[in-house]
Amino acid sequence: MQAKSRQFRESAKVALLDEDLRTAMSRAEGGFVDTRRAAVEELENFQEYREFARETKNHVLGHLDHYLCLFEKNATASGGRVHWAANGEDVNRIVLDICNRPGIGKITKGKSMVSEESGLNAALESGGHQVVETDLGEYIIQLAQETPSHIIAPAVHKTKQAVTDLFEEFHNEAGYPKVVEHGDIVNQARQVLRDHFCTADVGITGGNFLVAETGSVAIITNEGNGDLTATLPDIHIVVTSIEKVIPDLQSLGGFLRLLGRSATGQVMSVYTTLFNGPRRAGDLDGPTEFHVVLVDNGRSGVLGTRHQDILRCIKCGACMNHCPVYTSVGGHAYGWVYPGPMGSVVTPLLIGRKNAPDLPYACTLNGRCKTVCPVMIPLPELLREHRNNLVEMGETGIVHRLGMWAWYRVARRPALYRLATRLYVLKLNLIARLGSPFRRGSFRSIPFAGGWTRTRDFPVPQATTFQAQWRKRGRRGRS
Amino acid sequence: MMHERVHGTLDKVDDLAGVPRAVCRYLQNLSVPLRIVMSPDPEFSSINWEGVDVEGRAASREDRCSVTMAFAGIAETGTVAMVSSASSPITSHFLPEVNIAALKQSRLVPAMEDLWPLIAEQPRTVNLISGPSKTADIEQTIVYGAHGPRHFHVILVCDGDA
Repeated sequence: MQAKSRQFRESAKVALLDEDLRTAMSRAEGGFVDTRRAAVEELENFQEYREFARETKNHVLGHLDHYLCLFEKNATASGGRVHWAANGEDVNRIVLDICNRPGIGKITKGKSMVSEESGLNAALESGGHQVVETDLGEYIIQLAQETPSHIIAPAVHKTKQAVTDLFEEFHNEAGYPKVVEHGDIVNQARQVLRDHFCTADVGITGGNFLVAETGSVAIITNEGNGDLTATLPDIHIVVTSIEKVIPDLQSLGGFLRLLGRSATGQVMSVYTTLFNGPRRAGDLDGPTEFHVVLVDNGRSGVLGTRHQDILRCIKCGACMNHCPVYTSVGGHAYGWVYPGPMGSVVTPLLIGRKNAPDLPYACTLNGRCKTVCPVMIPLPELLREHRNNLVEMGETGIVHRLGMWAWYRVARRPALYRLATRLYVLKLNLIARLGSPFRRGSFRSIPFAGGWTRTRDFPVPQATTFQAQWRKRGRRGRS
Repeated sequence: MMHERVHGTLDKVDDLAGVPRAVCRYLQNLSVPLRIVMSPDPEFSSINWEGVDVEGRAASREDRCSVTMAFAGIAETGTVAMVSSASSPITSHFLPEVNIAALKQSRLVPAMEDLWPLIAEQPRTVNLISGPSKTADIEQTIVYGAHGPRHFHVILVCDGDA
């Protein structure tokens, strides 16, 4: 996928003015947050499961080669074929090699964010294949020729009206009526996609967990589209990334208790399926070929670095659902595959910090993402580390650098610092008294701080500086 | 058992022989014809399905209702576990609009961790099903029957071992 993360600022500005986006996002946010809270509160030892998940993933990441090879051995033993893709080009080449044979035309697809990284759909289409996304949200954005704006609710930015219009445009020709209500829209998608399910030659899905002990791929959906995609065509290809591996079936339950609750507030998603190889002798259904494409695409380079914790991510989406930046600007502004806090951490790592210099700053450091993360990823700390890296690389703007340099100079001289802050507070109070640009109690703009006040108001400060007040209090405390 | 919390429905019968009557009851309530595709399970074949039009095979897209035999049930999450084999095809869980699963009470386990020891050898698929198919992809509004069954009904066979 072409990365547009460099344009985060511009994209975010456009997004903030998009009325439909605001409507859709405000509806979604409350739903995700409230249902998650209820489901988490109901599980008494949720915190213990979080710690278990953190330790398990840390252990696996410390021995990733061992667990991946164990997975390969066991998946191969059950008749599957395991392919290793070092980068996005490898992913597309491997999948095209499997699909490029006579008689293969239509490909159905379950949700796979990893396949978005390499633009697999476009590659398959230029290879002459028809690709149909089957997750309802993915299907909607495929019709709209967009990319997912959320990792588990890809069409979260779309209003119902927008879906009605899309379906009218694309289904009308086949004789389908206009649909307005949620139930009718879903039902029409069911009918249209049934035809595709039953006539596809290849099914491509993602994978949520790879179980090393058994060589199983676990796929989780609520719609059941993953299972129909995996079961009806003759060939099933799983495209998933290397950090999804877990040691054994006994550890799967702990992850599932966290995932459903964190993602959608469900105790358990509707369909959790373990896939072990192709159809067996005597089986009445299932594919005759089962492929697993294990994608690295930059992840192994994160191992052993200060950002390794992000590889624990189980892609639940809770961090973005609780992020004030994400819920304001939506997912597309982030410019690549993964949005929100986890996206701001992972995108610079996978496409290069230079290509996403603003993402580490798309954060207020409020820490809600870290509080809700089911695998305890310290997201704000990782974003701060990115900021450090950007400064070290000299990737920050001249205004930022000069400002930090000036602050550094002043802050190291207490007397100068006191004077400077006192003067600034004096200046603000003066402006406030003169009254021109201020509303009661806050500023709409401040000279030399336009970048800050352009998007928010600044409160009129107390009459004195913090240091002055602290000194006064200290004296009172001692007396 | 949390099955109803995950929006499935539940009925209880005393033994396997009671399953056909429970199936009839459920389908009549839904006003669905008494025609079912049944997993070719030897235990199903041994019961008298009088009054129901049954065929033992994998489901195809024309089938409106399937009856399947659960491998086990997980009480913690109201989940039904299906294990694929020649007598337990997978499409039956997903293609029909109505899916009815028979679950023996003796096969109920407290949590998922208790399920794995029951599976001696990994089958081609283990399907853990917790309620009917659903989506909330449009404006967070839940709609049932996205791609899989709109109705998921469990008939608990109280076989006295639990």
